[in-house]
Amino acid sequence: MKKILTVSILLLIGLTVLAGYFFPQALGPILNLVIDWGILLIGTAALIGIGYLIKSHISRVARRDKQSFLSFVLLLAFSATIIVGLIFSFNHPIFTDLMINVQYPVETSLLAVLAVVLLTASFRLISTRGWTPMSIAFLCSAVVTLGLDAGSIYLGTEGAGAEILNFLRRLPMVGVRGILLGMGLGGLIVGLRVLLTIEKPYGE
Amino acid sequence: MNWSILGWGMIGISIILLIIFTFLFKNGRSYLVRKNTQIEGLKISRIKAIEGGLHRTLVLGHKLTSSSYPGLGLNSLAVMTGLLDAETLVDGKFNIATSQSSMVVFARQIVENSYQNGFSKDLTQKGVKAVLPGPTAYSNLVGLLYELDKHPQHGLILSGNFGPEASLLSEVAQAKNGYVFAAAGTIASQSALFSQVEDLMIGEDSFMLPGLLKPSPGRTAAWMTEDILRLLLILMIIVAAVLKMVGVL
Amino acid sequence: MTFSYEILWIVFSFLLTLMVLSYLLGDNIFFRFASHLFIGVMAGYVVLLISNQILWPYLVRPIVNGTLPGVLWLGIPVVLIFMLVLSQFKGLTWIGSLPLAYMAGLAAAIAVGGAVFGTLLPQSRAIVDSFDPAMWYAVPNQTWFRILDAVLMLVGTVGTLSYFHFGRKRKSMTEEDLEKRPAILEGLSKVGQVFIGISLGAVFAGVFSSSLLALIDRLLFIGQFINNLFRSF
Repeated sequence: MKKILTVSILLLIGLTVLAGYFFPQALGPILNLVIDWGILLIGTAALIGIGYLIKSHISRVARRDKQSFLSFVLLLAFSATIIVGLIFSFNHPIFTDLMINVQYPVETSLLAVLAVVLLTASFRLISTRGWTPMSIAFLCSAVVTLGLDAGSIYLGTEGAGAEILNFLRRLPMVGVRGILLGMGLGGLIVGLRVLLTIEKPYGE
Repeated sequence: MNWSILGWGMIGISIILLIIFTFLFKNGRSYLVRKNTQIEGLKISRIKAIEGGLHRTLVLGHKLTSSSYPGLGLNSLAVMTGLLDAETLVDGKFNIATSQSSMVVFARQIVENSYQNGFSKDLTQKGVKAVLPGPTAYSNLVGLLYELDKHPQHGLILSGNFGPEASLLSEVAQAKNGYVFAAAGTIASQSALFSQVEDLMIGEDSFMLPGLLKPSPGRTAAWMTEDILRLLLILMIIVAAVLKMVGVL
Repeated sequence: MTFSYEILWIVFSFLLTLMVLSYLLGDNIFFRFASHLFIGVMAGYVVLLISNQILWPYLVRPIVNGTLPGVLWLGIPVVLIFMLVLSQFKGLTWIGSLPLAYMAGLAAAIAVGGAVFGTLLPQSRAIVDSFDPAMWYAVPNQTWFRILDAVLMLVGTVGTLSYFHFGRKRKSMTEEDLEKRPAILEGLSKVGQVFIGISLGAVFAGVFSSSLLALIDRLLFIGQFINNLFRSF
């Protein structure tokens, strides 16, 4: 009985949303309702996920694990953000200052670390992948694109030279299009696999 | 030409083919897919990790649904079921991490179900943990870096929707002599991981992974349907291009 | 007051930057401290975001201000939410399959619709449109480039798609044959490999450039901070 109910809900929701692509006007109000409820569920699931994160750090602090003070820092930062967000509004300068001054330096610095990682990793290209058509194309394309971005490769602003430059800039789009088409096919089939209950991410 | 009708035709054909092939493969037919050397590496790493009592981490990416890469999140959940074999569920030391909070809930449900189906409905598993190191892409990254540094790691498996920051995770895992496998479906993550990870599944190959890990008639049917659909798409593009050139379209 | 408030944030940003960049020297306590602080702040932010953007407008406000039929309709998601929360307790996992089936159905349908109408059709159409003769002759001295563009686009896309063919060569004599696609597709996939390599290389260059810009930005910030610090003494 439970299985039938689960599959019925899956099909009902899946087919309603799919039909909404075909009859957007007629199914508009129902579709909005289904999506709104879905957003609510996803939001709740997200809160549950964060609940697990907080719970795991509370247990670390309670167990007095090695470096449990880090978990304490996390819990303190979490509580402070919630309190500041509740006292001041979401768009209040104090709250936005807090977010910007934490998020921006950390994320930009992580990107900076990534630059060093990418640079060192690029030296391992051939040892990782060997001399294959794909790795040679990768190497040449990366060098040419960096050259184009830095302005080192310059063939004029008009005429054949400019056309060649434009052509070089457009060339990577060919493979991107092929990869995206492939990902689209994969997405279509995996979605249908779920709707036909071949995959059951919701459990049995 | 009405492209929308073409889209519905694709969906219709896919559904029919999937149903027919699933039925055929349930009755003993098979579809031979090309050997995938990356999978061999993943399987060997699993044995080494279990034998050596080392930790493995599966990272499911940042999104359940995405407009640019539809289905990648769902695919990563299917990959997860393929990695939850009996030994892994019992031996433990297997962490499943994601930055998408709602995917943690899915992951926990799949882990519990796999355990109860394999052992007993009355038991609750403790070996595999589904965790949220951080609720956004970068907070997840730093949280994972901490987790990777904490335990002796053997395997890092990246499957799903990532950004280029995935290469930082792979670098750390490799620095600790760990094995890295990536089916990170986005172009940005693949380009960043290309020079680092030997066992990297590129593009659509990521969708091949669930069937390679845990074959089933439905997954084999999906391979064959996707192959046929791809050939039809190629044919459609060529014919449409010729018709456009001669002015019919 | 404003002066010290701003200075406080700048010092805070500076310290966070140093702590994160210290990871270049290896994992250390400063990096871990910054990481945990960041995770805590982001977790708090996401909770507030969900409460403000989802729970309040989609659940609380309609219940408080809505009409009776509207409130009754909300009973369905409320029950599903209740089931989802209950399923997190030991022994009650099974209750979660209904709300998760709802989310899975929604995600699957969005994936199917998005794949077909958001990726497959627009991308195919872009390739086909590049064969429009009107576009080729639009700029007289660029006709050959346009034709070359279109042909390359077609050949490259077909090659890339062939690379992803899952099936293998029927008559496999050697171990190597087991990795090969059927003959025609194998040939086309060789072309595809080159185009995939070109695309990944170009994207890599883009990713590297933007991360390099981030590195420069941080180094400039550190330099400016130290400079201002010395000037103030």
